[in-house]
Amino acid sequence: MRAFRFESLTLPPEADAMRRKVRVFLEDERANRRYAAHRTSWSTFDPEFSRRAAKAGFIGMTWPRQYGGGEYSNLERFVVAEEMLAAGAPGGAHWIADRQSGPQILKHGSERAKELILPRIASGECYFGIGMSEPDSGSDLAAARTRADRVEDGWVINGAKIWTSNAHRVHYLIVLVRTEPTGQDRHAGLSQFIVDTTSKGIEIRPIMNLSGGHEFNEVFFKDCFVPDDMMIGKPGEGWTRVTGELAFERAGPDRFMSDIRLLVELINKVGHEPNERQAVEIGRLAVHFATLRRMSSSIAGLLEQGGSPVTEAALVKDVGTAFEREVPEIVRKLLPMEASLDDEDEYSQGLAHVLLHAPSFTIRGGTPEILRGMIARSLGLR
Amino acid sequence: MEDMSAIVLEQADRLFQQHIDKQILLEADAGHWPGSLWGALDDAGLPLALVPDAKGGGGLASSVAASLIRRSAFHSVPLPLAETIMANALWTDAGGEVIKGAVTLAPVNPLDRITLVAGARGATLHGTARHVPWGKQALHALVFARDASGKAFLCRVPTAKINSTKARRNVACEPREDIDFDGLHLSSNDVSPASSCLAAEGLMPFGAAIRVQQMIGGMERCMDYALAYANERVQFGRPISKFQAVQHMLAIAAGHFAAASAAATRSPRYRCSATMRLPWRSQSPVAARPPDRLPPYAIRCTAPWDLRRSTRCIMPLAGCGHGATNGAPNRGGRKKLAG
Ligand SMILES: Cc1cc2nc3c(=O)[nH]c(=O)nc-3n(C[C@H](O)[C@H](O)[C@H](O)COP(=O)(O)OP(=O)(O)OC[C@H]3O[C@@H](n4cnc5c(N)ncnc54)[C@H](O)[C@@H]3O)c2cc1C
Repeated sequence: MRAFRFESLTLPPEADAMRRKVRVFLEDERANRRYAAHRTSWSTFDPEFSRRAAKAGFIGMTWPRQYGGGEYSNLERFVVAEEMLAAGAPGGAHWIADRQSGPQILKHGSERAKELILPRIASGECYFGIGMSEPDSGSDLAAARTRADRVEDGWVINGAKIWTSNAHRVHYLIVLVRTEPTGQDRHAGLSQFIVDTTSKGIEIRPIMNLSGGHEFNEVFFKDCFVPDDMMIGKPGEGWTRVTGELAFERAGPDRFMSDIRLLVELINKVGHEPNERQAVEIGRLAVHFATLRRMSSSIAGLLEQGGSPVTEAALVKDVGTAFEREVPEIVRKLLPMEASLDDEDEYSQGLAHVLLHAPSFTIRGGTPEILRGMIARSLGLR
Repeated sequence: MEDMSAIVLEQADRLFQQHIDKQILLEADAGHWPGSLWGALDDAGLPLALVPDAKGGGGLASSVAASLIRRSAFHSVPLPLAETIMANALWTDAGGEVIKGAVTLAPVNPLDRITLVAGARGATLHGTARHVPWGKQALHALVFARDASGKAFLCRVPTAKINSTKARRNVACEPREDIDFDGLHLSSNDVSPASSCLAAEGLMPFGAAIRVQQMIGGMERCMDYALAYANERVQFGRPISKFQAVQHMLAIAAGHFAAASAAATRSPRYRCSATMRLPWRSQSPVAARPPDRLPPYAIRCTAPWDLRRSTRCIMPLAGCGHGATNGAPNRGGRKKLAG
């Protein structure tokens, strides 16, 4: 039988040391009330926090010193990510740049792009957005129609992206475009570019989400010039590049810890003497959580060895985001209280925040149906 | 009879459709009371749907009123229409006259208790009710209270006299107030012994009955959108409705919707006076049967603000207002164990 195996991994002593270090940092953040843990997580955009986290050495951790990195291992980075999430730290400004755009540029970007951009990301000053989805191309990413045409010294982009998180407040987007018309092989002829959001020819319009907040956008490109050295990899490599980027995007602890604070809040409220139902449900969630941690850390181990565990990452995202979606459903049954974003009660506010965001957990970064298709293919079923 | 109810519902649908637009919903989200919409519903007599003809009401069968509430939720009516319908039904059933303007119900949290002390001229209330819908914006609250001996009363309380200790919105952006009734004095006109149907569990089963109908209305709207969108949205060169995974999701959702509708029409019966049996029973097939044909105006997937509201409207019912989602299954479970 074909099967996925997530090897058990013992974190090395450096990782434990890093855990202690990041806990001290987060303790200090909380002691000084610099953020509200019950309503923040990795999608909360807080540049001040990102700068402080960078100063403490928690952004670009695995990158070479030459580009502002700390030359730590992927496992040390993993530990920092999970501690940030557990503490409800508002890491949204730097999250995408640190998680996928930076590593993508480091691996496949031009020397100029690396020198220009990576140190600024690592210092918490430069943020990224993901320019993949388009109005007619969501799950079917290869159907992207935004195109780039060759001009002297570069390319001009025309088209539109949608659901672009934080486009209105990041410095760059990594944009997937067609550099050749669609042919027999629909995955051919795509390329990735780093696009400065202040470039001429870009218009960004807000789309409000379920909670009434402005997180994602529509982005329009009209004859937007991008220099040659802002291409990632070579022309036509876009599909391979974007698939690799999604492996970074999908397997981290942010795929099962988006609402972990709500679970913590529940446990605090329930206290030391849960009733039987509370004990059973909380116990079940805790075991699932522990298992997901193990799977995700195992992928961090594979990344550390230089692998690109694309399908394993899809699997962790599918199982992990299903867990995240389940949390508010269980929580609200164990401790009924009407959720309200305006309520000063942390549980009520946290529950409202999660209820209004949870539907997106399984959609962003690829839907379960698409991920399951990938898993099925790897089982030899397609 | 069946024809009549179909006409009533059709008219209500038209009315909601005519008066509710994006602007009204956005303003309501921001805390604005949609006075003109209330005026239109009032002119049509909807708040008195369950009041008998003899008392100047619409005298609808409870199953038709249930469908009316369902339709109001389908259209995201941002007003305490259902609460007002229920409050007027209960108050007139207890011998009172119809109450003008919007009326809310309190308490809505199963843990809250309001007590009543009768005096020479009227009565005084004590206790706090949390999360009262439109607790300040409705003109009156119909309050369920008990005296020291456990006897049940209904009280008509002008909200102008109410002390709201905390205001916020639920996740559907509907206003919710915590109300402190301590020391609030009422004249004897405003107090009436409650009908026997309220004796055991107060307003909870009635509130739950409202919320259940609203949930089904919201679900129906979401289903409509999802079905239409699945046929419209193209990925990988075909409508996503052609993918088995999508078909299964929608089939599962349809199953939930059907089950919810069935459950709602099989609520336990509470006998009030001869004219009233609430919450809803499945007397007329109108309440039990989903519409054969989808209303064409609902098939508009280009209005995400609208869908957004329906989705959010289902969510607060996850809270504990009237125990619709928590209390009810629990109670059912306990009953089964006891039986
Ligand atoms: C909060 C949030 C933030 C986001 N941020 C970004 C961002 O920053 N940048 C970005 O590029 N995108 C972003 N997205 C977009 C996200 O990646 C897409 O929504 C997602 O990939 C799905 O695409 P779609 O919305 O077009 O849905 P569609 O692809 O139209 O899918 C609709 C439904 O059909 C199903 N379906 C489609 N094809 C198949 C098939 N072949 N078999 C079975 N089922 C199928 C899907 O699973 C889904 O249920 C974000 C989305 C959310 C919710």
